[in-house]
Amino acid sequence: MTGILVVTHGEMATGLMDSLRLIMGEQEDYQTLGLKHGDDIVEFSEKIQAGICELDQGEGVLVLVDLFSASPYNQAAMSFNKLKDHKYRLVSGVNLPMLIEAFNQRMIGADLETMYQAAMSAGKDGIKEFLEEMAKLNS
Amino acid sequence: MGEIVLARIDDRLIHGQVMTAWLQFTSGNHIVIVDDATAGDEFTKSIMSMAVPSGIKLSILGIDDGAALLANVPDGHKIIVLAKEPQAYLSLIEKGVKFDEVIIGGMGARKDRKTFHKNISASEEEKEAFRKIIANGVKMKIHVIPDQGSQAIEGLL
Repeated sequence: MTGILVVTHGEMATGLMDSLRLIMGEQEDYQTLGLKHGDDIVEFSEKIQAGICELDQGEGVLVLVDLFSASPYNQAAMSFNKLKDHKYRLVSGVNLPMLIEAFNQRMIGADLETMYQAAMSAGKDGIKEFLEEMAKLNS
Repeated sequence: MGEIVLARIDDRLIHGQVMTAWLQFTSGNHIVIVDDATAGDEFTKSIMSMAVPSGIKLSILGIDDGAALLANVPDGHKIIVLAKEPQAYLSLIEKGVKFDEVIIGGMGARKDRKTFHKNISASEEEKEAFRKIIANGVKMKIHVIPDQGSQAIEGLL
């Protein structure tokens, strides 16, 4: 099974998984990591690497982070050269639609490539404004 | 003549929103990272460059090249200097770079560091570098986020 690793600032990753379990039930083969004030950045990077190694059962790992170019993203990106034996895709801007899609895709047996692409699209498509959507209905 | 608008110590160098906030606060237009290891690592350099907003120049230099640029800032450049440790600033000062002040933005926990003030940690070697920087007439403050207050560190050493 493809692993899923969610890495964010603070408790967002555990919060997102809490919401996901509410919607989709208990899940396996995932981990969450949160960066706290004053954390050792090298240790944080090592936790990301350990998470990817543990979650990779041969089918790779989807790593979802909160912000592009911020620390969770940067540390996951900078780990790339150290983890050449593992396959992972790193997607920023994680939100609940993205996370649900990732677990859905995995449930129906999609591979890592399909998973990350579908998750990215769902993350973007999940952002809508009510009156704009109403206007589309009536047009 | 250009100027150095900010000199900051941060383990993580450039990272996301933190950098955006300081760019707006200082109107800096050129980020200069001074770090020998990063300057020699093309992969890390490319990740750092992704974090820089468009229109902002980025230079990633070793200590010697950094000192050469900063001792003689080109016209129109408003430079934000970033380094991981105070020792880099001490080297720059010893090589003739003039700073009014150096701020501590992020120094996280590390095996050789102890808590220095709130979320800032420092090793004995780093504290010695703080003292030497101050002895060179440069102010040193902890200042994590632009619109939050700063704290001088003399009393903490």
